[in-house]
Amino acid sequence: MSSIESYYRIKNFLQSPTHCAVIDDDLNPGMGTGGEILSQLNSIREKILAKEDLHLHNYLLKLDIPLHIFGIRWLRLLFGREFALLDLLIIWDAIFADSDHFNLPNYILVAMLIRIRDKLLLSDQTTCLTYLMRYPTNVDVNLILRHALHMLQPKRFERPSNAFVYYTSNKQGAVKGIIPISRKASDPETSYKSPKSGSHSSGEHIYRMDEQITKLQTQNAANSAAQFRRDVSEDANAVAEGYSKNSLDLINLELQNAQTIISIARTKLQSYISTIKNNIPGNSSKELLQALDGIDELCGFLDVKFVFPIHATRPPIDEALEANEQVNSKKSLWKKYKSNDGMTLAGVDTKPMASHESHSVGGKHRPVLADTNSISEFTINAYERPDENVSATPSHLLRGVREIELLTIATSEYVDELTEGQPNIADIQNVITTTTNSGTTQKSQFSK
Amino acid sequence: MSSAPYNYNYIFKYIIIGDMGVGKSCLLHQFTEKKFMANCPHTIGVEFGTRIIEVDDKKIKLQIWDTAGQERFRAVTRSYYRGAAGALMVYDITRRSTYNHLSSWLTDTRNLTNPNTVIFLIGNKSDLESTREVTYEEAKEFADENGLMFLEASAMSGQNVEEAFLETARKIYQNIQEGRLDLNASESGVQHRPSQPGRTSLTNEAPNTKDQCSC
Repeated sequence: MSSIESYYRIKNFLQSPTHCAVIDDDLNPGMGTGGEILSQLNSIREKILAKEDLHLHNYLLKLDIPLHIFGIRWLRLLFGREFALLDLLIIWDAIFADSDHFNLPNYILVAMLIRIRDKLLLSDQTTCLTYLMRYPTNVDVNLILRHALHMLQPKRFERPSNAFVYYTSNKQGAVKGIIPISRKASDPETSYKSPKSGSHSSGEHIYRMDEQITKLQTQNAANSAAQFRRDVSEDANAVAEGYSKNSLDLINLELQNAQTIISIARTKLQSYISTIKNNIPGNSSKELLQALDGIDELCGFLDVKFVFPIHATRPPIDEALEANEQVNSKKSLWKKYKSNDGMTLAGVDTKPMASHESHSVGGKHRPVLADTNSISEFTINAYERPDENVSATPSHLLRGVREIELLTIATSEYVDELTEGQPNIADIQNVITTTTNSGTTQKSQFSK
Repeated sequence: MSSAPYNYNYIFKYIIIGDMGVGKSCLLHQFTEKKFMANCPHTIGVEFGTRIIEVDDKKIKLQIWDTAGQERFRAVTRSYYRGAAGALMVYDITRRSTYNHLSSWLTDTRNLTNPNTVIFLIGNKSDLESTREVTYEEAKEFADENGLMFLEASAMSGQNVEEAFLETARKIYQNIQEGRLDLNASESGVQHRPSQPGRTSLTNEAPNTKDQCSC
């Protein structure tokens, strides 16, 4: 307990504010004026931080950030304002369970610094100070503790494998940015292992750090501006399932997934609409029919080419063309139909599906729609390939799933149309052949 | 680092001083977050806040150090005076004792900062008119005698908070324009935007203007 007393002991406690200025000017700066805690913080910096992370130590010196700016509060409150209560309980448990020497807080302080070293080393003085005065809330408190324990007793506690946030380039070298090792990465090691021969020489660390210094400094200039903004969202650089979060591949995957969902939603919506239209009584109110037309119109907006215009390689004029899919043993055939009069993008699409086989088409409802004088030439089959124009990057994670779902829908649909023979389908215009297993997803060929 | 695009032209360093409980942290919070912080915890050592403001079309980053008012921290907080371009000296208009201590705070400030440091006196809690113990006139007189700028403000309502910080910045900027502040001296509390690689103003050792600021 004796060492922790020094956090609070102030040598020249002054009773009256009127004297203080006079008294203190004569004292050595740093020592004495702030009590023992300042000297203790200095020794923490020189004895622990310099040994564990020389680069960070030098960097803080260079920025003229003494530990006491934040360290006083950290130590005096035993990190009470730096962690949420549940995390704090873990910290305090460790501190009070450690030993009578009460050295653990000093090491926790250093471990906390090292934990955010990537942020600190990339920041200017003001940003650094902000990080230190408002310690980030999303740090892994267990990792900090394990690292602190290791520094305190290297023989007894194994070094956590991800104690340092190193900067490593992507394995494939595809991502040019730097990706800190994910801090949520699970650490398979347990901290309380039997003594292990200490294999981590500090010389090796310093060598590695030196490498990082040069690397960082070159990247610093380019990254710092962006970094400030990115730091707000702490996990911007995190790695998820093998992809860095900003990776192009991942974004493409997500985009394709979104397009798939939209296409499926559109298809289903269309089939439901046609079901309704087939079943509404002939003397329905005009509002009802208008509402249906409105839904139809919305279906048109769900067209992938509308939603993701950048990815559309075809000019928008082609929107009247619709695609359908047929599956061969190895190929998907995408058929496009065009409406009879071809005049409207009103895009009223009907899409019979398997569930809809039993409904009668035409006859009953067709006159009704004609009566309303609305966009009743709705025979465009609006089914399109969802990923038609998406980047050709293979998405093996999603591909299988998507193909299955789409094939199910498309197949049943195609069969429907063939068997039911929709009256207004004029001609088959396009057959788009897709090789499902190749990287490039589509080629189109026209057959009339 | 230094070649990164900077979104400001200057950094001004401020300190906020004054007795315990006068509302220093609340003033800072009101200024940086535009919110009143009820149940503000005790400041341990020092707190820190930044905000970018504009003076004469120049973007100025204010780096504000909010010190602890408790007497026991006095020795520690003293080290933050060094290199402050502006000092906001705060008292509580509803507690005369905080006003009576101003002279000692002023002595500290004068001793530990450079002569061009702009000192701004703020009478906080101006919303609590009913329990006022220090009149505006009295404080104004004190400010004039000592060449301080003065405003009564309220961190609760936000009244005059912006003004106090901005007026201080304008005064500092004026000092720069008139050549009274040496931008290269670390003591000035003003940093120009770094222009050369590898140079940060704080580590750029310039001749000290005052020897007693050795901490």
